[in-house]
Amino acid sequence: MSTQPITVLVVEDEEIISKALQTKLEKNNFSIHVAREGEAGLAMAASAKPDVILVDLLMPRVSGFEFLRRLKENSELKSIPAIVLTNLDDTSYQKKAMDLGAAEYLVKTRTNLDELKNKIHEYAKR
Amino acid sequence: MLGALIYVSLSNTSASLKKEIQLRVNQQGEALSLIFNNSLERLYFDTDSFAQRTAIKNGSQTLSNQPDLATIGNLAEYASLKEALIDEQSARDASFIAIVNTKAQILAASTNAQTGKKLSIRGFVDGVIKSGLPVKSIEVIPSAELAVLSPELLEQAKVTRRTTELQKTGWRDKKAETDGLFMTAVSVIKKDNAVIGAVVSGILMNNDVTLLEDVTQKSGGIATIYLYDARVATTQTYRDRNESAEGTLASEDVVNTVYVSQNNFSGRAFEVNDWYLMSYIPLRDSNNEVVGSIARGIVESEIQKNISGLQWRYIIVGGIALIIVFIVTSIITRQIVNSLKKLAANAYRISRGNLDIDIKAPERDDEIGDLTHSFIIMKDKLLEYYTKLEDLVAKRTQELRQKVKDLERAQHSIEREKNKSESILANVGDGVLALDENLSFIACNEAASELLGYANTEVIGSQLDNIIVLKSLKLIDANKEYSPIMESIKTGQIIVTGTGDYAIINKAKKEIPVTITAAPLIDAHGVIKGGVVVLRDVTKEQEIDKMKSEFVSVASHQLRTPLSASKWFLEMLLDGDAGKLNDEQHEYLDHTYKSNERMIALVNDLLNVSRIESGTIAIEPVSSDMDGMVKSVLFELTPLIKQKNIKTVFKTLPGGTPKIKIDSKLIRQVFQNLLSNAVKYTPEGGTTGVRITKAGKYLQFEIFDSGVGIPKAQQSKVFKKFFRADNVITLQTEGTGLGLYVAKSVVDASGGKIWFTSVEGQGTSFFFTLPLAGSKRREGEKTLI
Repeated sequence: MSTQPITVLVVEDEEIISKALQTKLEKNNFSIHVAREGEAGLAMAASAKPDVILVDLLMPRVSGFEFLRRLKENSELKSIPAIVLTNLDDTSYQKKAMDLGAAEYLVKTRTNLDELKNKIHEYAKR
Repeated sequence: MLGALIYVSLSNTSASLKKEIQLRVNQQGEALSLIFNNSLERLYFDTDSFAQRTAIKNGSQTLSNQPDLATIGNLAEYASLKEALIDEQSARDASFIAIVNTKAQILAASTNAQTGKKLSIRGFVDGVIKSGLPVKSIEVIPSAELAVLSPELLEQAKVTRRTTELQKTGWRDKKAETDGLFMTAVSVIKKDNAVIGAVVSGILMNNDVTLLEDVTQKSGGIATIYLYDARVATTQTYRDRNESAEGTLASEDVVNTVYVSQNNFSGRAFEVNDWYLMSYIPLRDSNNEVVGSIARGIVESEIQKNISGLQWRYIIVGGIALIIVFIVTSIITRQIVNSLKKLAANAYRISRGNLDIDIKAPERDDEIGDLTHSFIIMKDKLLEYYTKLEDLVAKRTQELRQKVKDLERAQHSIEREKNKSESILANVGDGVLALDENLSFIACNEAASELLGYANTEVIGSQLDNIIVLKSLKLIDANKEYSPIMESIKTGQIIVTGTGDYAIINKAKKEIPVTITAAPLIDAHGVIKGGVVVLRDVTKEQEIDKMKSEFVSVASHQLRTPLSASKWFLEMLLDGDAGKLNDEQHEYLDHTYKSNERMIALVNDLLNVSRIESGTIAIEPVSSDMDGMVKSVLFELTPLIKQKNIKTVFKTLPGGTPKIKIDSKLIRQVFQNLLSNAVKYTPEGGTTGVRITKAGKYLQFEIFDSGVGIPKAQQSKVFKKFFRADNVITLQTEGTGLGLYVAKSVVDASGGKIWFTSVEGQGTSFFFTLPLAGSKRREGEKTLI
């Protein structure tokens, strides 16, 4: 491990989900920030400058789609890879998220935490 | 003349005898081909399980990460990998086993191979690494690569070509065959879902006559393996000396059929220095090129000798038998004819009605005597019946009079019944209509005329099509012309449609969803004289159904949040993130994790069903490799297949199944559902597999098993939602009862058909078809999970 830990921003309204992610990732020496919806997520992205963002789609106030759109409009933040982590798996949603610039589209019930960890490593390295 | 006749018939027999022997040779050829296939199959499975070993994965990864592959021979990992490879090679009787990296460069091998050098096998290995699926094939390894792999193998493969009588000249201009014909299997090595290399194993066929001698010792004849036209392994020797015919060449006829036209050869062929009856089966490599063949045969002179010896014996025995038969018959005939003449004269008299004649009792003690005796008895009986007949006629006339009286009484009661039925019909809540055989209406109750919007008088006498306009509401309907009412009248069966299948368009052009019950009217002789139709308005039921689907869809999404949280926390516990677990704790958590995964699968299935029922599934056809799809689904099931020691069979079309345009994600799910059922319900040591055939404009897939079968009484419900057969609920198998329903919906929507045959206790075969022309594209927002 390098001295600088990888910073991950989790934008997720369900506390139990963000808790699971936070526990796993912190155990693996990542630095974690959690936001409960998109608006707060954008603010936190600007201040914390994370290496990778994990974002849910269905959230109150500012949804994951809106979050992605605004993130990619921001010239300072648009280079941060944003991985969508959701339980919506219709092709139409997936296409929409990828069109908005998501780095990857993962469905929660089909993703192992170890896989997710490897993915984050991969994107942080780029 | 007689002799000539026998001779002609005997020479026909000799021709058909030869045909018989050729058939046997062909069967022997097929049998030999099966033996080789079996060895190849075993190599394939062994190679695959070898590639799954953790030690192999780790060792391969370390070696492939080294900057200079030429010098990895000094590393400890290389030494232990090599030792494992040598052990595996001798355990499997293989000629070599090698591990290559993703560029097909050798990392280690059971032989003293040069690390870092390429082992491509004419692109075969690169292809497997690219596709990621395990493959077996017959391949030619070029001499250059053999030299890299092992100088001993290169030496072992070498066969000098020898000029041979009747060979095809100028076809292959070489002095010696230096390439090796191999049975080859390749399996990729995966780590963390990424391909890091592959295991390549091979069995050299050149100069190896063990299998061939096995079969010829058991059932005679010769057996040969060819690399192109050269015999590289054979049991055949020169006629006059005990020297192997290895290196000699196939005759021109054979080369033209097997290598130029690329077909099986069956018939008379010149082999080295004699004529044989032969069967050749081409060997194709993964590019479908014929690179060799295997052959079985019997030398012709042997057959000829046997046949002509038999012929002479037949002629002599047949002639003697004929003469004896002729003498005996003429004696017997003379004795019998006279007595029969007398009998015939009497029979003629009786046929004229003269029953009073007196026939002399027989003086003979043989069959003719018995016949005359029976004849007398018959005459007496005839006389007796004749008298009885007159009494009978009088009695029957009396009975008929009584019957007419009974019929009159019955008619009155029928009229009473008719009035009763009509009043019942008028008060039934469902629409009831009746049709005659010309499809015009003969009855219609109040509820029917209300539903259809036509007055009773408008309906009666009108044609079916003018009154009942049907609209199909099904997800997809292959045949728009299909009408359950017409079908019932045509086939004589009672047809009941489901909720959501059809709507009628009534007089006011309003669409009303209905269920239809159509039954034929059949008269006493079994002839269809029309039909009865019952229409039920199911508007309310449909609304409830839709609400139900929406509820399931919302509920499934909601359920996934806690399910994914449980999944992740369980993963962490199992990984020991919250402290080390003891064995018992680990076991309990593992059960919990598996139950949670099952719940996720169940929720996915429920969601799929609600998507199918709301009709929003997208079909996106892309050109797909069906063989690859079947192999990869089988591969996924390997752990369970191995655990239950089940034999799997995969029969594709000769030369491989052509690619077709289908939605590969959906069709893959069909294979997954059907094959996992097949494996689940097959007992230990059973057989299961896939057979692909062509049926007209369709590809037909058969997924068969030797499992518990489906009870006859339940076979009509198999494709219904939540179906689980009685005899499997007691077995310890998991299942939601939704897999077959999903499979049928997908196949229907892809333009195919699905059906099955099953015998309880013996096994089940599911069949489905897909159009060779491909599925039609369908827009939709959703796909199945």
